[in-house]
Amino acid sequence: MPAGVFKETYRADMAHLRYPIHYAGLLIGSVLALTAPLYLKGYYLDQAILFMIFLIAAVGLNITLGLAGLVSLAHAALMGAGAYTVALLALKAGVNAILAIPLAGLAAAGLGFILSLPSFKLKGYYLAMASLAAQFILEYIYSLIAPEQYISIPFETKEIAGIFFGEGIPLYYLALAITIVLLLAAANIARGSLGRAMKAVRDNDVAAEIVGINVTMTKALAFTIGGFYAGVAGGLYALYSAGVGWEGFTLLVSIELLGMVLIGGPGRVVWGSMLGVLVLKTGWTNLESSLNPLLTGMGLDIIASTAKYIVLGTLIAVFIILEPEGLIAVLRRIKEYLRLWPYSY
Amino acid sequence: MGGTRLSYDIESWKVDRVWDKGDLYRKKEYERETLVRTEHILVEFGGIRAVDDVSIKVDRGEILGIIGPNGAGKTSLLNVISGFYKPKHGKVYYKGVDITRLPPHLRVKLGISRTFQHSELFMGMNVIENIMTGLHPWRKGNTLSYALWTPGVMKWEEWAREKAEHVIDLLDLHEYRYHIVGSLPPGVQKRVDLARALAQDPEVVFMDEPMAGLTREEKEDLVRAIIEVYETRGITFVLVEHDLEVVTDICDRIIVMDFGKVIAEGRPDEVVNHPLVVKAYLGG
Ligand SMILES: Nc1ncnc2c1ncn2[C@@H]1O[C@H](COP(=O)(O)OP(=O)(O)OP(=O)(O)O)[C@@H](O)[C@H]1O
Ligand SMILES: [Mg+2]
Repeated sequence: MPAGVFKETYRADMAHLRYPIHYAGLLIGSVLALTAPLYLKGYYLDQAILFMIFLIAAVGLNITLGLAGLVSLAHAALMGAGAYTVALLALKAGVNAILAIPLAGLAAAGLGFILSLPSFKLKGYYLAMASLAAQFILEYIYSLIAPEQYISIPFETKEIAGIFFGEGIPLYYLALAITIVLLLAAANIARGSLGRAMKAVRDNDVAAEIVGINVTMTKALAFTIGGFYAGVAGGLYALYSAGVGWEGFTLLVSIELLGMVLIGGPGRVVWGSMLGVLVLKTGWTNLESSLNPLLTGMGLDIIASTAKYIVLGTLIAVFIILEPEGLIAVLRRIKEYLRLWPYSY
Repeated sequence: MGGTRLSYDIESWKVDRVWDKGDLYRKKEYERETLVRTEHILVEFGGIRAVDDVSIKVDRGEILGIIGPNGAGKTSLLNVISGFYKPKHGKVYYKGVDITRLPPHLRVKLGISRTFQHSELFMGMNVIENIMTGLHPWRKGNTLSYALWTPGVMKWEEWAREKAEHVIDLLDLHEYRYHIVGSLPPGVQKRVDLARALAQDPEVVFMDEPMAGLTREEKEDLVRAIIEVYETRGITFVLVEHDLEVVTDICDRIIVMDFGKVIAEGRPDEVVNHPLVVKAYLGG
């Protein structure tokens, strides 16, 4: 916070848009987001859709992990719950897949609540182990649902009023609308007393209890809300994919999501998550697709297939140790440096 | 509380009443009301009696000191009063009402606030957030209304922010508003801790060793802040302290504990010369 900048009212100070740069960012961001389909085609539009899907999931995990400090290695499994909800409802009951997305959120929220139960007693590593177990159990259950093949969702359930929402521009705008709503809600949760309660539980659960925060309920909420986001993301993923299979929601995906939050900026639910997904999903996918042929050409196929997880693991470790506040803090420091430049103090 | 009753010369650690003590006490007699009273409190930890049959009372408008050597049971007693420990025996009353079973945050709502010996602040949150967290017991609205940021939520958040800003003024914390508490020096953290308690509009504040670990300058700042709040807001203070000098200078009355028991009680000058106290502090 630069010295000498004072807001007229507390309301203005609490607003999402506080500085001219915020308004400029909103303007540029909305124009870019709304016009993206004009210049992003095919593969790149898919990338944009996947970015939003993983952004929603990462924001959910950022609420659970970043705000409330509850480690979850089962976030991908929660996404899976959303995806399977949409797929099964569409396939077995003929429910419209788009309309099933809120139900996917609710189903995963319920599962998130169940996952929160161990957190009432366990912390840190033990909680992580509990969620790991949950991830494996859920993966197993998913593999039982459709053992050999993907569940493919009937095309006609992906339509509303004759518009097919399973790909391309309609899916892009659907995902954009959902993303905007959920990001706003997350930012609201973070800036209000609920967000403070979560952070209080994260920082010092004993003191949180003393100031009258219901620690158990707050933990349950953090998991439940996180689950809701994961479920909606999974539901969108089901809409986007030709078929839903358990391979999309493995432990590795959970770890990727964890990496997005930890590297992007834990506790910074919107911007931190965005950075994390941008680097680890969008950035990585494109890097991979350009590097892989090169590595394979040099006969280094093994490196090509494992490089991702070596780098991801290293990055997570480096950030936890050196920059626990994530990339967003690095950006802030750069900004501060530029603001004060050429005076380095 | 009526007009100013204190003057203090912080340099020489002397805090004197403007009115003579007799007058002050007479006046207090007149408006005396017991805020907090404990009756035969017993707290045990695996056979150790941390608090052993302690009955004390705290009157409105006084600054009460509780002193005693390490492990005397001061913090445990405070934990019972603030509701964090359940006593094995005994009762806690607030304005004559039995609150022994009341959870901590409801005691806060009644008007009993406290600070902590070992900082119980939220180290990853900034100063404003820390103070506003103290207002949690008054929170309104559910998850959905927070996600939607309804007008009701907005209004409550503004109200809470105003309260926070008020104590930020009172304790001169302006420059630290947006600082992450974990990065602040201990002296400022103690002030934030006090600010969080004061934002709750308490009638009585229990402070657990507020001076511990502070430099002389930081102590002076904190004493000045406490006295200013005492004067302007009429808040009753209970100071648990190791620093005898501070306690004897600013307290009206002192309770001395040792091995879980109250061994002496009275005015500062009476207490410091009490043989048991001398023994506990020097002979122990
Ligand atoms: N949670 C606890 N579990 C076990 N023993 C405890 C606990 N809290 C306090 N005790 C014990 O109770 C006794 C009183 O401790 P307490 O912290 O109340 O003393 P104190 O007067 O505040 O001491 P200090 O001046 O060191 O802060 C000590 O023997 C302490 O070891
Ligand atoms: Mg103590």
